[in-house]
Amino acid sequence: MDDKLKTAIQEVVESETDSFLAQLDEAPHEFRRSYEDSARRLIRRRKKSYYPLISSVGRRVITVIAAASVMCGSVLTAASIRDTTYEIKREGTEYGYRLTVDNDVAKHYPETIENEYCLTDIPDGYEKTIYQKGDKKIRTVYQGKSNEYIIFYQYTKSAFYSDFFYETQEVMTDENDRQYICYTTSHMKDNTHTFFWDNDEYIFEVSSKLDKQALFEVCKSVRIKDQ
Amino acid sequence: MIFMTMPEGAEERRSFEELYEQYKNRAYAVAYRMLGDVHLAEDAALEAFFRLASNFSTIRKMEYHKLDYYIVITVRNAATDILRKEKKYKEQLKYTDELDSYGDDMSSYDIVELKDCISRLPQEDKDILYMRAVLELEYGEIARSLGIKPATARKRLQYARERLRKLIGEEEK
Repeated sequence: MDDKLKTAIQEVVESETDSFLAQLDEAPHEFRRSYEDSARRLIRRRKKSYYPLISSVGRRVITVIAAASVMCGSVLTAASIRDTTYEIKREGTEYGYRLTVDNDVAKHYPETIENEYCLTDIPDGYEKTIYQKGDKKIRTVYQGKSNEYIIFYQYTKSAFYSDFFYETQEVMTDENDRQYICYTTSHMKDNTHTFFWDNDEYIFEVSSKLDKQALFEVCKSVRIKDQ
Repeated sequence: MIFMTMPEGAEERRSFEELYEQYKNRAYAVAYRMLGDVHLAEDAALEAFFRLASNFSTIRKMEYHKLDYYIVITVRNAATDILRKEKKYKEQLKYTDELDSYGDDMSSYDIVELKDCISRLPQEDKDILYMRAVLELEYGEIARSLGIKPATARKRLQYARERLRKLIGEEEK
């Protein structure tokens, strides 16, 4: 490109941009939690799928399931499918299905639980009866007066797996645009709901026979535990 | 599925994190000024950082003061894309074969005239001309900055040049 044109473009654009920036209010902005999660994920991986709509756990799982249909239920190991769904994969097992996070992905996340999370909004009548803490997984069970339960897991991505039989699924989104995938088991007529979600660092799982919406509220109450 | 990747490693990650921390509020402020909506502005800022991540190897070699402009341009374009999606912004690029015939030699023009014509171009045209002429980015790098295909970047650049030529032609009449 002509030098004179280059100089003219540079002077005009830089001058206009300087004027534009001079008018900006660059006060620190408090970003949404979902934004911060995405930004942390971006910093960690520094790459992005051309399909941002499948960047959440729930949609990735849906994509896996859709791909599984195409592949007649075979184990999802084809590279193209793994690329699409690189965070979560669903494999067929002898007894049903298993959700896991690929090792190549999990290695970019904490290997042990560094920040512990807890449920902060448990329905009345429930009490914590079991608390098992390991380096990579924490299991907490809350028991109701009539023997109902809520089970809460926090996993490192490398330790995460969950097995289930055929179940119905639904993706639910909270006020911060975080997505949760909910499986409902009905083969034993128990209608147990199990929610999975990803806060970027860890995978969480909450199961109960509570009403689905009530259990969703429980999931949304997960907060980092005061150390 | 294809991923836009960058060099791996702790150093790159740290550099990108520093870039993010340094520019996140500016990116938001630029986007908010254009969009006037907190959530849309955050979306635009994040999309801009995605684009910056995909071009990070180029960015790391960029002169510091040019990086400032490049980031503003990237955010501005991400915000413009969102405006389009929100159907608040409609611009049809018109292209005719006649426009193909112009060259780039503008040595005979006065720089003041050139600057006057450039300042009257749409912002997108100015941005893409700057990326190509001043930052000397390849079509692929421009494409990643704007979230478009390299062929589209090439065409947009062509349209920008032709619009500039038309403006200069009008000045001469």
